[in-house]
Amino acid sequence: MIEIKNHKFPTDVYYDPATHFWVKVEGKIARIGIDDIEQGSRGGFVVVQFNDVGSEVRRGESLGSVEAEKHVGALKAPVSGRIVRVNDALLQNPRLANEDPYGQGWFVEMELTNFDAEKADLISGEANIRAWLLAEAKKYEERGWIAES
Amino acid sequence: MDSGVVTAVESRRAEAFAVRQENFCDTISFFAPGLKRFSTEEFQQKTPQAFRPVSLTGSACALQCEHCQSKILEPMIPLNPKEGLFQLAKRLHQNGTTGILISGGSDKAGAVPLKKYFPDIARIKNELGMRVMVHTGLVDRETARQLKEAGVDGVMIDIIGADETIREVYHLNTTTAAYEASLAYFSEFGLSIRPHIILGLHFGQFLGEYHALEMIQRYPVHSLILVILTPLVGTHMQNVPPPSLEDIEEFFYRARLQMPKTPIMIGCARPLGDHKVAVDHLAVDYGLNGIAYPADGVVAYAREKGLKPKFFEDSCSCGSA
Repeated sequence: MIEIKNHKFPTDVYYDPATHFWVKVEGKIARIGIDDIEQGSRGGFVVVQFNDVGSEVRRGESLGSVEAEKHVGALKAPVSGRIVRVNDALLQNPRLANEDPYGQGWFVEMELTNFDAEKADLISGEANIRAWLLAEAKKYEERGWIAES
Repeated sequence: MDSGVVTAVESRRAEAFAVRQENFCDTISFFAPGLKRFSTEEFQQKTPQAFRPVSLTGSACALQCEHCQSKILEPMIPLNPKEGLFQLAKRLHQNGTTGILISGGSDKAGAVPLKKYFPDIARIKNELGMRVMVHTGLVDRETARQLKEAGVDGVMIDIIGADETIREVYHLNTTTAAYEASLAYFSEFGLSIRPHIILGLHFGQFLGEYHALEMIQRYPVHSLILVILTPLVGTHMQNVPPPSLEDIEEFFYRARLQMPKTPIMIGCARPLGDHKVAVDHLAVDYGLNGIAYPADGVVAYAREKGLKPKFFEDSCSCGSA
């Protein structure tokens, strides 16, 4: 786990630089959620919706939507696959994404269909993750998405 | 609901919508300022940095109002005294910001501490050409004069219409007369006034809203901004239910009829989810002129009603109908 600007990031997952989603892969199944700096920038999650279990989603397509205190918009899939499970607890209590983004606040599980090709677009490894996040934290500050330190 | 009630509701909606059609062109404005990232199927924010809020006091506020407790200040850009307001605005301007909201916490008298910033505000207007809106809180005559002299584009103030709310929610030892006096000072100096009314401010209940509306009616305001009590986590009102849709609907109706020629906007602050969807549809039904961060589907609904949407990336307090 590394910490940048008071936000925590596990290093045993992949990160999608386009969405700030984390992807934890076990076999052909990936659990997906949002990282700590992104959840912080969005404010309290109020409403979360996901596509139906069984639906196919390609990387970059919408797998659901979110309405939060400081963000409204689609949730874009970081990887391609079929949604095999959604987090019912999160649907009932969207703030879990803020309170425990890597644990109880996970979004969906997907059966991966193109991960070998797509993982090149994701960020992994402690050094790479740290370098990327340092640049991202600066960007988030400049855009006012997180408080300037 | 029986058919008689349905007919009465439809009749009132039609009446309010007709008032809009008589007094405005057929456009409806949608806003997505940079306070929130916003991208829906109907409206994609392209330049979230276009309009940015700045807090002169950081997250500090002497009032600690029951519904806010400084939470609203937290996402704003805090002014670093070492940098100064002009330099901050210049830095934002260089990054594509064309307008700023100058806000901040209040002092114990309910005023945002603006006075020492007027020279900087004048420079922001004159040298950078940025649009400057100001959340003022209560003002005295001299502050209103200096706001005008500094050249601000508009002033915003929450108008409270019940002494109980002023005391119990804002913790202020004053009366509604102080709010009306602020409107009078703004008006005297010809400032562009964009008053806000917070519906349900008295712990989710309507109390002074209609009095606030009456006060505002007496002055030549640019527009009226309606926001709705949003129970914020970490405040004393976090478990307070927001005001009912019935109360909101009634207020929209009366506001439209009582201020037929004034643009009425739905501001950023309102409960999310199903409540927001319902409120936004009511806003269209009752002929209001603009909506900030519209719920998905509301743009299409407005088109169905014969309205032409226009999209803006600054505050609804900046826009015109």
